[in-house]
Amino acid sequence: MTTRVLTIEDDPLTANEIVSELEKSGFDVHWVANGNDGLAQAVSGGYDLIMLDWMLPGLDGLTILTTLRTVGVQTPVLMLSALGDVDERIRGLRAGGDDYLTKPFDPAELVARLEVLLRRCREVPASNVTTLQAGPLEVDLISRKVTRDGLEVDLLPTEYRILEFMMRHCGQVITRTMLFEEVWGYHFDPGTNLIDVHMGRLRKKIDLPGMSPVIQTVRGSGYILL
Amino acid sequence: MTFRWLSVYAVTFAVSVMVLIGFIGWSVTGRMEVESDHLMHWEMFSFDSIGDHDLPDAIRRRMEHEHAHTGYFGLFKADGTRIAGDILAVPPGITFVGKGGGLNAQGFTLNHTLPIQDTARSPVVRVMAEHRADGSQLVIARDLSDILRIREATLNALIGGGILFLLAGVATGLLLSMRQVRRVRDIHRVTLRIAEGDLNQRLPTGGRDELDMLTQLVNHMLDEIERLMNEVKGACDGIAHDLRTPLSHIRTLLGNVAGRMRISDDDSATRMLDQARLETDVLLDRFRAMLRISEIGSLRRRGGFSSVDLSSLVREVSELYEPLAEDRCIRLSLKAGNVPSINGDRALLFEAFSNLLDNAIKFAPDHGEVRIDLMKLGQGTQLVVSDNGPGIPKREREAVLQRFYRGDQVRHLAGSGLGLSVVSAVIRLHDFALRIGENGEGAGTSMTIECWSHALD
Repeated sequence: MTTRVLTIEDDPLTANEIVSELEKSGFDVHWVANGNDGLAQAVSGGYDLIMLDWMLPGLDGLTILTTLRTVGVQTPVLMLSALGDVDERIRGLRAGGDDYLTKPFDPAELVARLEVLLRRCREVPASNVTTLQAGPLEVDLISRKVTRDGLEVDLLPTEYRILEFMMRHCGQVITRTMLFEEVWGYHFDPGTNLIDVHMGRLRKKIDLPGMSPVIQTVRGSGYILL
Repeated sequence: MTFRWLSVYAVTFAVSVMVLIGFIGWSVTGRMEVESDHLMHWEMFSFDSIGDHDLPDAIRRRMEHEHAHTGYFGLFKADGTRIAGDILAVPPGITFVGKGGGLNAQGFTLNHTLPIQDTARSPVVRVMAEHRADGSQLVIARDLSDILRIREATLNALIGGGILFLLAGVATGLLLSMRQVRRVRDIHRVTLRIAEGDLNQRLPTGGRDELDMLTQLVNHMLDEIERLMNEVKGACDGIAHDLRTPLSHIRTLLGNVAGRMRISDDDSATRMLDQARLETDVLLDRFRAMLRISEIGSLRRRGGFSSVDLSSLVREVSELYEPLAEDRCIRLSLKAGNVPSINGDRALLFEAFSNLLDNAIKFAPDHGEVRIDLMKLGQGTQLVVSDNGPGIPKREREAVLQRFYRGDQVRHLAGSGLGLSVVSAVIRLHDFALRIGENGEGAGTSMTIECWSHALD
């Protein structure tokens, strides 16, 4: 079953980019160029995910989102906006948005975020999970003990948080921005290769010489834990 | 200030009242003295018309009319022996009016010194004297007691009235100035809010006086400033926004072209395309940073403010950058004492501190040193980030805070040159201050953020 995505976006070039990028990743994408049609589609369409531009002719993105949530449509929504303002982000998320991406965005970033959103919504969050497992890695969420092939690995708090986030999204591409937002909780571009250096430290501890790397770099996107 | 004006006003008022009282007193009583001089002069004339022989009798007759003792007379021989009248001796030191005298002959005032018959105590009198043809001396005096009483009464009335007048004047002045003080205080409060960046505020009007004219003028000026600022901000944001969309289109198109090119294998063309995409990314980064600075600048002040624990914030920033420093064998040391919490926007402060530390690590040489010191001073908390890099020459220190500026010595390093402008925008939002100096040990830069309000500097 393919995933159906609705993208409400008035700029044709951006829309084209989104459509081609998402189709490449195997999504079934439907594009609507204005707010009124967008709202109608979103309510009636049975989509798995909605991508919503903030500024649209007709109804604006925030109004569409509020209306959707008011009438009980719980489809995950990714807000797209040219405004990177923290206030805008907070308003978007408060109105019921699930994630927020600033334009212009990296297509890889977009796809990574969509995957995470979809997974989050499909899986019923199990509250009684106390351990995470991925390949040779095991994380005890309560004692924060990390083992690889049964051997304990000693991690610093930051390294532990990175690993836990990667384990929770095992098999998904996680971008540097997503890591920075999730692990540190801030929404600006830290620049340079800051995240890479942190990731390098973590890898050094969990991949001892001779072992196959657990976390891999996806060129141009981010990281993936397999 | 106002009370200084008030006291100046009160003193001026008091002095003018006193001068007025003095003038009235002087002119009224002076006039009375002149009147009595005239009377005595006319009396002299009437005595002049009497022969020397009949004069003593004339004086006696005259005296009988003066039961109320308002007039005194004395006729003396040339050697001073009394011939007639109730004045016992010629008072010493008086000048004699020439015979017939001028019309405005002047008398003298004697203060209780005129020797008079039958009276225990001599009153204050006005005296006039003349030499008669036979050499005898005629002295006429008039009692001034009545005039003095009138003068006293007048003065008392004037002083009493004056004090009342003064009190009423000062009280009115005080009331009026209190009203003005209140208005000025209102204006002061609103002006501070405008200075803090709230350009929607307007000065209170409604007095229909000079102050009101001034506030209306200032309000008009504020309207203009607000309009212009909105225009400029709109223009800047518009440019950055409008350019960003086509730029991201170019980036996408370049990506598409690169995708096609991979099929053919023209290496140099692919390299050029990659370079073009990289340059577009740099441009987009700069626009993003510019918009970010403008966003920070236009944030409603105090909107996202809450209590921030600086030492935990600094520790967090330091932990974030520690691996980066370690990667280049830079020693990153943190000294964070216990400091009181401040009121601020935690996320923005984190961004600003990150930028400072990022710069310090970027400019420090490999195997160099970066220090973070958070300390409590008298005025408040101070954060110093110092490195042993090339340092910033004195003449460039102002400029590095401006957008896009990059020092001569660091041009080869990557970055948008906007990091410090973000820092300075965040600092401005908090009314903190950023000072750039050199590291105490000769080389390197030290960036100091003074985390207390500099709004009144």
